[in-house]
Amino acid sequence: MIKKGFKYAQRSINGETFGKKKPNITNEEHPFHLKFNFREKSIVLLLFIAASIAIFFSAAIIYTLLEGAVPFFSKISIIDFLTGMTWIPTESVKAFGVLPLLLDTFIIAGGALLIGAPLGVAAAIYLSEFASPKIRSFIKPIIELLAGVPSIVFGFFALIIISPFFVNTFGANYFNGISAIIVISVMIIPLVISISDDSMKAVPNHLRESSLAVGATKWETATKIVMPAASSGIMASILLGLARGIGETMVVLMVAGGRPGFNIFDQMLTMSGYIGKTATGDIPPGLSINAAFAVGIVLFIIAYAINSLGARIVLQIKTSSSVKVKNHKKKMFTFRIVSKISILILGFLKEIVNIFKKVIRKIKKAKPLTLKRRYQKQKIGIALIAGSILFSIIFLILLLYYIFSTGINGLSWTFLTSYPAPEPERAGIFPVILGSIYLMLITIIISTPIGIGAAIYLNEFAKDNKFTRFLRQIIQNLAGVPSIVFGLLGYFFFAHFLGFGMSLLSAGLVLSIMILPIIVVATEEALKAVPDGFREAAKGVGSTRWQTVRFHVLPNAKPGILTGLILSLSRGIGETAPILFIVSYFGKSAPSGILDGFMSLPSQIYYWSQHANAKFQTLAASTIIVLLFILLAMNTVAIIIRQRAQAKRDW
Amino acid sequence: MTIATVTILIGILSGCLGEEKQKLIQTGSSTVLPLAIKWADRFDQADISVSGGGSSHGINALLNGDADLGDASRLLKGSDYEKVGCDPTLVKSDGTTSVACNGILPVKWIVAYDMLVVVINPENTWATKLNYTQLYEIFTDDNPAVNWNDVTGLENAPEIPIEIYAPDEASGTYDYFYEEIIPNWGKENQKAKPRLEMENSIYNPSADDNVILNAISDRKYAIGYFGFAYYKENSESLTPVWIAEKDTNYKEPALDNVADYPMARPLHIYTNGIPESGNIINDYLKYILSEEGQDYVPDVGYVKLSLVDENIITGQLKKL
Repeated sequence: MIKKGFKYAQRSINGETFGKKKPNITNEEHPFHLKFNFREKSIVLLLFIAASIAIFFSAAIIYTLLEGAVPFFSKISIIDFLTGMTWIPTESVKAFGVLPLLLDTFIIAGGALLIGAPLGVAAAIYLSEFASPKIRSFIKPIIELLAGVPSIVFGFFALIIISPFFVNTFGANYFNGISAIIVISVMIIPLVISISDDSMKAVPNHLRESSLAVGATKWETATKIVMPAASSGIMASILLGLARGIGETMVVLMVAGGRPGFNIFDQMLTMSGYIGKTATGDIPPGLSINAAFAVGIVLFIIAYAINSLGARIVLQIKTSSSVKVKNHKKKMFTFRIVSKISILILGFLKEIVNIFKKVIRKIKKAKPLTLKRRYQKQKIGIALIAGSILFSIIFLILLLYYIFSTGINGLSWTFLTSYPAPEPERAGIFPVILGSIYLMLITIIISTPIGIGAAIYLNEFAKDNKFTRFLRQIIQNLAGVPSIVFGLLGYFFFAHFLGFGMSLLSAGLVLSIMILPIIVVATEEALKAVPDGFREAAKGVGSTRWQTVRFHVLPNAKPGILTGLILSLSRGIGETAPILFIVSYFGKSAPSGILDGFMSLPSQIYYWSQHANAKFQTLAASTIIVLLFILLAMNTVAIIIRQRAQAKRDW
Repeated sequence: MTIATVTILIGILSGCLGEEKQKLIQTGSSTVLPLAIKWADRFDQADISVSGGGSSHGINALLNGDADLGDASRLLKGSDYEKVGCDPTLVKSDGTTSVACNGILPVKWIVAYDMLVVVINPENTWATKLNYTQLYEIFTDDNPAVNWNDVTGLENAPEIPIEIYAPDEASGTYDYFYEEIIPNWGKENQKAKPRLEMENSIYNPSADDNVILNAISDRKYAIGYFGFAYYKENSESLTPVWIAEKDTNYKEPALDNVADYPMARPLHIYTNGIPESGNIINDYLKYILSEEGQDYVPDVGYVKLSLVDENIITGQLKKL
């Protein structure tokens, strides 16, 4: 023991790498220069390659979309496509005007935002400004839980509970946009809450203190000081929420319908919904399939623009300091424009409110604003914003209650260990669970080295030059690609172009690219959390840069990296849309090689929820319980790792 | 440590490679899907993974080399060849061809018969019997009936708009239905277009027969159609419409009525060439055509080949 400790100490003093052999890294001729270190250089090169693979992935996405759309645009003029008001994508009619799809996309995403954004922002104000730490620590996990529910589960709930509700009480069409709007609004609330909350937290405390000191109530401070100060962050959260709504596929696919229309109580079809339909066989091959790629390009551009704008603002808030203005004029320029626009919009809204207030004041007699009334206002305000959280909580409780009460009876050992079957009584999900687990393993094997390597390169080795900024941009842009576009990528690039077929490998590659940006961001955050003093101390005793990273930075960042990995994987395992094109619905065995076909939990839920025999819907609910259980287990492991690391940390 | 983990993971993945049944991929028509799952489940010699996606997808996947077996509830068409870059004129009108496309020669196997059922809500009392002329008025864009009482020859029909919930254009069912009711379907002089292709159509398309079923059982004024199998699974929530090709010779959709019922069609599996004996696909097809394989057909709600014509089975077995 002692000897080992001594050796270790000696090793770090000498700045030696592990292993028995002591590499000679000093340069005999020039004692102050290091010798060319092949090992070090090749590791950095590998890290650089890991970071640069993102360029290849982005190129693959663009190639896929363009290649698919070329035959389409050779027959349909791009102007007709972009300005046409009719969407009837059959061979005999050939009306490919994308505007109805575009409008429906904005009606559904915008409608969801109209509900989700105010509720989310209100909840964030409550959490950041009024909630006691106790309430906060109770509500935060609930919001995170809501954020972790896969969209297929929301889709299932919408199909079985929400849509029938609108059909029965409002006489809505069996397919209707309104159920999609409601459900998507709940899906974007956690996103809006977490970003708005962060940005309000980032408002310096002295602003609040001065406001309170001049006699403002807490409510006035929150709404008139903190909110305007955090307005760009709130705007960003709303933008990212909008992007999420625009990219949502499964919910739209399951409840919204098959044709675009402008009545939310009637059938509607969004852009991602149309692409999804090509995967589920609603669309015949040919021009209408190629149209999916053309629609994919439009969707890609819109989601990308909104997302990168939002992400840029978030980045600005995180690294905000006035010093940077000179270096990043361009970045600050867009930032300024957005904040100007948001200020303009907020100002405009304020004007309207003021006019109303004036009118009301003229009608009523002007009363002096007493302290009592101001406190009354505060009470009502807090009650309202606290109530806005209830909406999400009640929704989550209803959803979980319904799924558990329906699915729990179907759960049994036989169900978990038998194979899918044509008869619901005999059907089980054993190979389906295995399929999901294998898919996860492949995703880990592919995405971990690339994601962590890229993050290490960007954070520890990259110089701040144009290429590095470009790399960062590319990786971040991957995060803005709608999931169904990844579906197209998987089917046409990996399965066909590279010839991997409808296999685990194709699906694993798609999911890897999808979660890559999440891993990179999480790893970078973990690396950044390691104090620079560690790096300087290691370099000071003669470590090379890689040695510093390998022996001093990575061990300390490991818990953070692991947590990020697990959370991003749990995101990947719940995804349906990206693998919709390549998954199978029945098989008698689990896949035995990476080129085999496979089933996965979310897709099986999708298939069973659409089955003629209603008993299969119960099985879908049981499968959802299994999926949620796996997700919960993964999240628990992540939380334990994080807490243990925080307890152990001595810096 | 990490390297060890990765090695173990790879070990687990490759470890399963051991003793192996041959794997087949079958994909296509959602109508054939339940039947395909049944056979794949019962056929022991191979591991068959089955997915849906529509007839067009099935044929396309076979021609692309993505699948070993392509399910289709319609015949192979020239347009299927055209879509993968082959000459569409090589495909004959009976859905067969003698010239391979990209090295793949699709061969048709009839595996069962399906009956198409027109369904209405149980509370609908006025449209329980319909002939092709009336279906034409309801389902096409040629001067279509708006309200139920616009349909000629219906007694006590209400003045309330018709709603259609039915398969979409990707489904073989759609193709078959319109081939029956629109004269010269698919030709230059096609008499009318499906109502789905009108603007602001009241035709709600879905590839998901279950959705159609639910919609019609919920809505009093709705009408639609789908395969007999889906009707059989849920016969109490819907009323089947008796169909007559002409005038009033109405036939009930029922399994033993298949020879007389006007809307019955064959279901197909397409393979690449005629599989040689000893090939697992050959065994699978033999199993499907065997007595045991055919006995599962009515379980799923389709019609055995022998009920239609005994020669279909013997003729195909001769080729294998």
